[in-house]
Amino acid sequence: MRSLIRQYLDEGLSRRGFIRELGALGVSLASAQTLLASLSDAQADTLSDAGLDESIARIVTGNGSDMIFETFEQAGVKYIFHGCGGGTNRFFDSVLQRPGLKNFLATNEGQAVAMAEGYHIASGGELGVAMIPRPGLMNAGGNIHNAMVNRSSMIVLTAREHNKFSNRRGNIELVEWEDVLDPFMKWGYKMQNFGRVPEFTRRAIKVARTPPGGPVFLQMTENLYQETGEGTILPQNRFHVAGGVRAKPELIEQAARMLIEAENPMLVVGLEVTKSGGQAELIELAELLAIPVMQGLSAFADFPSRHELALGWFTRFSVYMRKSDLMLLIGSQMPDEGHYVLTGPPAENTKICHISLEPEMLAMAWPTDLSIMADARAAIVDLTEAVKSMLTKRRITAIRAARHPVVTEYIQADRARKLKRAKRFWDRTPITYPRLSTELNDLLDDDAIIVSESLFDVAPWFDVGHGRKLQIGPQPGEVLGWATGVALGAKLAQPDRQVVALSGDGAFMFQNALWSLSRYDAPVLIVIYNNKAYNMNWAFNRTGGGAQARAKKDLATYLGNPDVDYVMWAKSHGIDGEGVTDPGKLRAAIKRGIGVVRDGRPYLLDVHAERWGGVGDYTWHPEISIAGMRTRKV
Amino acid sequence: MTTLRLLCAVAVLVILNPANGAPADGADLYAQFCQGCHNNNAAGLQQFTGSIEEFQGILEGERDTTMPDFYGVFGPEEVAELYRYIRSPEPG
Repeated sequence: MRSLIRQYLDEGLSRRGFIRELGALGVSLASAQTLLASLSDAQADTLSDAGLDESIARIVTGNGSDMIFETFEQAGVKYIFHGCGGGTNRFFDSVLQRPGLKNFLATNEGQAVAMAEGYHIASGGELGVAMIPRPGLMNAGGNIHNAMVNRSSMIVLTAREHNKFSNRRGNIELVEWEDVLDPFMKWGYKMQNFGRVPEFTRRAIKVARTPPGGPVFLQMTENLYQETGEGTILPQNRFHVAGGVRAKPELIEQAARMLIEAENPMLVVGLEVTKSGGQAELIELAELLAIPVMQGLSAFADFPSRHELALGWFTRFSVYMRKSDLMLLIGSQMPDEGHYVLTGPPAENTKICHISLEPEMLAMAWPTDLSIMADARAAIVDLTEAVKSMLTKRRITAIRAARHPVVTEYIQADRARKLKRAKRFWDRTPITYPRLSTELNDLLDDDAIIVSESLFDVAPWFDVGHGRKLQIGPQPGEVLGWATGVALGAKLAQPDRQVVALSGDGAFMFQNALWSLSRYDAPVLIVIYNNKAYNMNWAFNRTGGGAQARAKKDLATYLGNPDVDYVMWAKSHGIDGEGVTDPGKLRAAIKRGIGVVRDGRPYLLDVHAERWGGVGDYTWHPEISIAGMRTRKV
Repeated sequence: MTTLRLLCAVAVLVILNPANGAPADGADLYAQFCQGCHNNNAAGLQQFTGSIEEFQGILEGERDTTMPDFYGVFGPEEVAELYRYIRSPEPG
């Protein structure tokens, strides 16, 4: 979808061609025309400013930067997250003149992007804006990638030197920075024409917001700072692209029939469910026929983790996965063995119906019986209605009554077995992940926001999902250095909700947001699952065999020497905290942290946690001393 | 209530028990379920020297490992096939 929109906006695809391509993907003509009309509005708006309705147009005077920020304000942008200035310094002249805008300095450009993404997600879809000096784009690249994988709507605003000096391959322009990151962006534009700055800013906002979202680059040259004149600012709500793309009714009927005829259907759901606002509707569909639901790769709990039909994260290592005769994927990527986190492939001999807004995701690598391009919420609603219209109430009741006890008994037993297993090691030191996660879940508010980085095995211990705690992460994009920045943005968006940032010690060292959390008084509870290792890499290194595994030596992942004092690190930023090694003292420490956060300051808990994957007792690491390599003491 | 639970348990077994079909070859099972973590030719399991009971205990989450829980995924014949495969001096 995004590539089609991009092609159309870049005039590489005609109106007819655009509709034809959408039709080929199963989008109904009406939906395609609605989408086209919205896009065309945006295209046509400033082809000529002459003739615009004066009641909606506002003429402002200023430089190119002023035009950008006037347009941002018109679009409801209130916060800007940024790096240390550099080429973007001139933007701040415009920010200074607009008291409605607040700016947040990050000490690393990647954190500015993480903050913008956290704000976007926790606000329920407001646009995130990160202002990044161009050399800093490389620092920001990792989290721009994460934002792209999460389909987060944000603008990355950059600036470059005057046109008269461009492309001389100076010290900071060996390449066009934005081009390097092109695969991570949904769209981008390098503005060089003063008269079109409002137009392209509007377009960038619209493209970033249009589902599926994604980061959009907007670049301005120095000469547009220097040029002043009049610009036409138009209300952004006139450039809104409606979502809710519906599938052809015959495709929905086909999917409904597959669902009805399957003996052991299962749903695998992904981030498009949350993004489309379809979580409540998904619960209704699952409950209608008592269909178990697995969570696909996503930064969210798209289905409540504690629901009686929740099977947990997608895994092949499940009875259900093996025996299911229909896998209905909604808004999720196809589980794939190529994913870094093992999620696939789908079981053989299982029929597959896949619904996604993104055609690139459909029928990508695995044979698929029915692929439907549609908005997740719209498809869920239509599918529910189709099932209801194709079956009598009595038949629906009969299907549910036969399946419900089987599914729920299995899920209850599965959870009880996992809890029993976890309880065997409940009082063990170092503290286990299930113990730490369960204590946190118990003590945090029911509507807390939990930002989690790369802790893929703690999610089942939290009560998250629709109407419960809000889960943000782990980030499927997998680039480390994300959680605390996201947590700051989330707290800004939801100041009246508890926000917690969880990460391992390895991931935490990639983050660099303590300064910002302290500087802006962001009351966030930071919890480090500190097992002194890049645990996941180490565990897979061991399970895969090889010379290191046989020798019980790992060259690359031990972090216990030096044994970093994260509490001291936090205190150097004016953030209080404490270390926890005794599981019996964990609850009291969490309560103290919650108390400090309630009083308005961040707090850090450095929890001495287990190393999993059978590598708990490994501490060997290469003894290398550069000082020892010297031949004289200099 | 007890009767209902019993019926449900039976239904779970009937509907979900993989042993209803023919057991797959150990190498095939290994490729599908184990290779992702333990590498090809069972390279990551060379150090396992335990009994089939220990092996089953690990699969079903009874042992102190953090391997994903395979509880109920394999029927007894499939467990035996997998065990035979990973203990083979030259797997495959």
